[in-house]
Amino acid sequence: MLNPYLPQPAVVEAVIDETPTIKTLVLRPLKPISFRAGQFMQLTAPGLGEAPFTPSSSPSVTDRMEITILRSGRVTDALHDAKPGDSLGLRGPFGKGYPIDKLRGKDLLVVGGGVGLAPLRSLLLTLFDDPESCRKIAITYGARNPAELLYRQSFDRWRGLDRVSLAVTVDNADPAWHGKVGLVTSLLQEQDVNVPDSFAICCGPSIMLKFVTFELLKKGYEPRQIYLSMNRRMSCGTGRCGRCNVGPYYLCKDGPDMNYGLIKDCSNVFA
Amino acid sequence: MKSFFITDSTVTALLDDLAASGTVLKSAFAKPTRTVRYVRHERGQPFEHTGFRAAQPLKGLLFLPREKVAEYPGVPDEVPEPPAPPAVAGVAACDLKALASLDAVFCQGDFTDGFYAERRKRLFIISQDCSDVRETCACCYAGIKPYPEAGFDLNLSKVSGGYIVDAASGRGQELLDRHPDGLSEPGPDRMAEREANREAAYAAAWKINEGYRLSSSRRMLLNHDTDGLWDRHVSTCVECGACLLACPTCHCFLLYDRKAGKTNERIRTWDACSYAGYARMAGGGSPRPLLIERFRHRYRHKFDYFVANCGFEMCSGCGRCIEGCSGKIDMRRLFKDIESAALAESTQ
Repeated sequence: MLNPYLPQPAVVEAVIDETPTIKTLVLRPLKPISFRAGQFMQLTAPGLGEAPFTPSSSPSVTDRMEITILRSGRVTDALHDAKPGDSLGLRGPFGKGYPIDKLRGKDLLVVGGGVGLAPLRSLLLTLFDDPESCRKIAITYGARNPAELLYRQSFDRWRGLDRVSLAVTVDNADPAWHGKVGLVTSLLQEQDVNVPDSFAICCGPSIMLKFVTFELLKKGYEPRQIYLSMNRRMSCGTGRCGRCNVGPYYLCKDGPDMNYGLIKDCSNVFA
Repeated sequence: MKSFFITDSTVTALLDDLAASGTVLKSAFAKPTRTVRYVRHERGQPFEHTGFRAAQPLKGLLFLPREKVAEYPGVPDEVPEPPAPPAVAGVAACDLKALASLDAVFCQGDFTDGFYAERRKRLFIISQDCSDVRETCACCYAGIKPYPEAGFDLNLSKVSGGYIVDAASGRGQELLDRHPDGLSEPGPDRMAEREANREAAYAAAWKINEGYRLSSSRRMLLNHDTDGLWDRHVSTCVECGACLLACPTCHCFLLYDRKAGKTNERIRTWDACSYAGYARMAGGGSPRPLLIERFRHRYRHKFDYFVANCGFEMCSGCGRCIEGCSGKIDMRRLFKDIESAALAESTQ
């Protein structure tokens, strides 16, 4: 019987400094790992512990996996200190992943905040590879300041793709910033999507998800058209350790992206 | 299921038989108190009919309080076969129901928990009818009776001069078959005595719980919010977690890693959702920062979310949470108070 708690070794091939607080680790697992965009992995800092991350790379590549990490605690401190050649551990994939089949032929509004663009990048790369996937992909992204914008080097390429638009904003500008200033919610009303035939997929901090959801409902989205990457502490990955629930759903097996129509009446959704 | 009559000496012989191939635990009074505990059966020693569940929940034999669940790197990706759990005698009906809850958690879904599952399939259970119904007993409240109806290998019902024994599994029957000389027909009088004992225990349980009887489902009552009632009930909680750690159905756990020489170990320990740090995330945020939110979460998990996922309530009515609570919190009183408040509001 397979041991669901045992990580398999994964070697760090490269470390990419994305922002002052975010790094991407390029990992080569001992055995290729198949995953669906939006499923998450538990990444182990040996001897210290593990933390959940949704890969930011395309699922079409199974022998390499990119994981983008915001420094936010003891385990992520250790992961930020990882060097090429170091051995880490991977468990997973866990969860259901994004509802890619539902998106076929629809308009898609993608809303990202901060490091929340990392899981969405995996989704976007999947959709970019499939011309039949969505009719339109409107990406909106916000970060605290220009230095914290993730994957900035990809923005021009994404903007140049058919079907794709990208709007970016920062909460606080610096003198070199000539783009929009404001919260990501300020970008939503201007997005040209056919709301009744559309889905919105959002990933970011809880407070952002809360106000993005309110703004989307104001824009005419039904709760069932909104998917939120929920923030909870996911540990076991199998729905047993108990701490990642939103109502009766365990994010580690039923999410982590949840249809807002399913959870809107649960307590403490945007905690 | 065919019933037999056996004497005390045959029960001892059955336990001795099991003890020949491993450890046997049996319920016994921790004298001079009335507390019942599992103790190791020593060869030739008699079995004591306690008629009440042991203080320890059975989960500790299958889902260990603290266990190494992985060592990395460099070990095969398989669950090492754990040592066989002890056979257990004197298990009460509430604890059998609790095992059904744990089975639903650990043995279903995409990832069977091999640590639990391997022990579970080897656990030999001799249950007993309850005769000593106490103030904290809530089996009838939880929808079961104070005597086992399924889920055991053998069940013992105390009657005059010995026990009526029933086998509910092939291996239970095999154990009986190895002791044919100790088995006899129970006869109609002893069967009638057992039925009378069972009815009396069930009536006694309802007598204790009559004041807590509900006309609404607990699931529905959970979302009723009235006049600080939840606050009042949580006001004596000291967040010790005793209710959750003693609960035979609570299964939340924590995984943590540590270095162990040249390798690393992943340890699993019991955890409790009433602890403030339980659901805290990196960065410090928590979905339930307030004690009252954690308190309500516990009941929602047991009587709402678990029902949605598994189809039955995650409570066996064993009463350990009531017995062990230093704040004297009683879920039966909580639900009754909510229902009374809801009814009062609806008639205003």
